[in-house]
Amino acid sequence: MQSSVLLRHTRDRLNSLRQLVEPPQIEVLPLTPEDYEDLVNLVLEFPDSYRRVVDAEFRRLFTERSRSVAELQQVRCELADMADRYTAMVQSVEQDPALRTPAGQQPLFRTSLAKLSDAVATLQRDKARVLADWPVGDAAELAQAAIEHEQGRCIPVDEAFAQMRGISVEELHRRLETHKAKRKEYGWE
Amino acid sequence: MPYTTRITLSANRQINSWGLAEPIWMEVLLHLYQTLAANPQAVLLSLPNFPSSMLYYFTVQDPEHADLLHEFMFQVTYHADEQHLDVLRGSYWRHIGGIPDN
Repeated sequence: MQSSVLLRHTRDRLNSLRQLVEPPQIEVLPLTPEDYEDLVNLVLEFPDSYRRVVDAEFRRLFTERSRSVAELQQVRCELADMADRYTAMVQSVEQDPALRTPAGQQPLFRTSLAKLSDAVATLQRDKARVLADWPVGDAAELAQAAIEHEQGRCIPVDEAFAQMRGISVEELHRRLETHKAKRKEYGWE
Repeated sequence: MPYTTRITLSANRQINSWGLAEPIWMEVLLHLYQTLAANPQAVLLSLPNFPSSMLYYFTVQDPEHADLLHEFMFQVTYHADEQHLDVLRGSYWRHIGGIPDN
């Protein structure tokens, strides 16, 4: 299956960043303070790219409805994997003594370094959204859903919605009738 | 004969986590409780190589912001008793822009 252009581009961008950050590269080409600042700033920009690709892939769920379960699982897996590789990369930027030395000498770098943790947190939130709200889970999750289904661990949808709001099913049905009367007002009829 | 729609606990938790405004939340209920149950064949889409489940897509236009769309997709399966439809998992996305073509 061919991934989307944006997904491939984002993955390539991450790979490019990782190549810059990997210790052998740093040893061959020692970073100047300016390079280091640029590198940290490039790393900090990545979560925005990640969010764009997550947004785009969620959008594609609704515009390309013919993809197979395997294709959907692959996209989900790629998005999650990208987030994990980014997190590992940031940890290496934060922890590598060769990289931290110039940071220790420049207050500006220390500020940039502190932003890395926020960048990882942002990215991990987006990853969590992908894992939670992607329409098709991985094999283990599909198996779990099948077990719940087979064992009858499902509840009627009106009961479930009533529980969400902490109201009785009767009250929910009253609200539903009120809602139906308002649908025209909302432009839904 | 209309079906009764049921929902797994995990899908229930998903919907609860989406933080939907009341009219949108009610519309989700209406879709699952009534539209889907009344005529599942008309609204469910099959997935290639995945015979055990189908997908139910629907879009709700935000009543206050016309260009804001709330898009939903639910993985649904028929129960063996042929009386129940079980919702296994959901996906929700807010989208700013026009109504999608399909």
